[in-house]
Amino acid sequence: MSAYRLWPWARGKGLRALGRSQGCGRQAGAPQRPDSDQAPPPEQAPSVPERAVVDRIVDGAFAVLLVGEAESERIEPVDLLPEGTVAGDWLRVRYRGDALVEATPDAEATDQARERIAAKLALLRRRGSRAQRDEG
Amino acid sequence: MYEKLWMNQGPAARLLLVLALLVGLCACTGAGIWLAWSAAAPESAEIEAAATSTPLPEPTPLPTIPLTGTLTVHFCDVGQGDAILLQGPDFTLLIDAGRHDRNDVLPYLRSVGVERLDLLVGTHPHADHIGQFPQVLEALPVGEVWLSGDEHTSLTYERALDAILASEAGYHEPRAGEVFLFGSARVEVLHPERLTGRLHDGSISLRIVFGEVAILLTGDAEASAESEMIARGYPLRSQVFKLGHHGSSTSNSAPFLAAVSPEVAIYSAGLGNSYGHPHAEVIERLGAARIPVYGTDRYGAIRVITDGRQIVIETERGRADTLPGEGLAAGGQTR
Repeated sequence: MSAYRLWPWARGKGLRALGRSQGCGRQAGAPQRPDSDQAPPPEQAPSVPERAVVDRIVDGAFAVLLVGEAESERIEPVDLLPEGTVAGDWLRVRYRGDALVEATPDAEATDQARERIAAKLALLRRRGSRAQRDEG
Repeated sequence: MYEKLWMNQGPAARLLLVLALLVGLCACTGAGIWLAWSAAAPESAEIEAAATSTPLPEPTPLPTIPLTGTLTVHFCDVGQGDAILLQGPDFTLLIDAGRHDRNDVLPYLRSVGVERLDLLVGTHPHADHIGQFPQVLEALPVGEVWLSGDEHTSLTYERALDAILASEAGYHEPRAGEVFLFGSARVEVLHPERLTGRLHDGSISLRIVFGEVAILLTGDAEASAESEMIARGYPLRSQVFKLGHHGSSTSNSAPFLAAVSPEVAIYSAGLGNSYGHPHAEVIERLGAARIPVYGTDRYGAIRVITDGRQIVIETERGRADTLPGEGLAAGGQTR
């Protein structure tokens, strides 16, 4: 399993690129603290891992994650996700406050959802259209 | 008689007769070819006109269905999502059903007296377009549901499928070239022709014709899908165009805008959204073409009312500030 870990104070401070530089599917570990005059906020325990699905990638830059059973929307830079992540992938994510600190691919959840939904769509396709076609 | 004529001639005269026959045959063939060519080929004036006029396809012939009443196209204010209601004299269509984390589509439909839907379309499976399918399908009878057929894995998408399965609605995945009638509305499917797995680019794109007025809705189709639509050659020209993908610069390419040549452009986006929609270059592109643009982020719900010839635009509230090329006035503008 691969994961990306980022510190909350790293967000928006250039560590996005550092997260990428750790390579595909590897533990990013503790990145070096960037030069900053601002002290990091008090340490906060990360959330328990939750399932999230990548609903969409917007403008090639933003990943829209739907987190948990309620599918709460979180918008993250694409670079914070494991390399190769595409829309439809399920992840295990952990947040510290509002900051994504870990994102791990969950291939099993992805496959299960895909199979379940394909079966439902197949059922629906047997239903057929009732709309009036314009043959003129 | 022909034999006698032939036999009575000397060799020179026979040669002349053969030549005369050949000349006659060539003349007849040539005349036939000229007649066929002249029927098929355009006049030079037509060629000149084609060369100097715009290369866009001609508008669709008008439907012969007599129109009574008006069509109101409601661009609902659903934040960073889409929900477009077309409420006609004999049809009610809903194209997309808002975000999954809000509850504003059904209340809006109720507020304008919608009691049933003839058609519910999810242009593509993202949560900001199919989000409130369950609420709508549970509350209203729906005749038909269209999805693009692209499969997604989100719970929101799965819940939408569950809601369709639990309803009595028909189901279809429309493809480019199909044309449907819903009462006096003619619904032309422009896209997709086939699925590619890119959900935005698989967006169901519809040109809805009411009388002489056409409304173009392309979901989140991006520039490559727009190029495909142009290449297919179906009529695109429309008086009303909902900007693709909330006004993103990944959609609304200059060639597509030129092909659609709208009188008014409308986008659906949330104020201060994370993506910067609508993108400035799109708004500037519209401004350069002097196409007024209205957005739900600034105006709230936007209503385009038409009798099939003229269009009137009403907005829920005035704008917060001015964008280049933006609509000329807030509220109740008559065009």
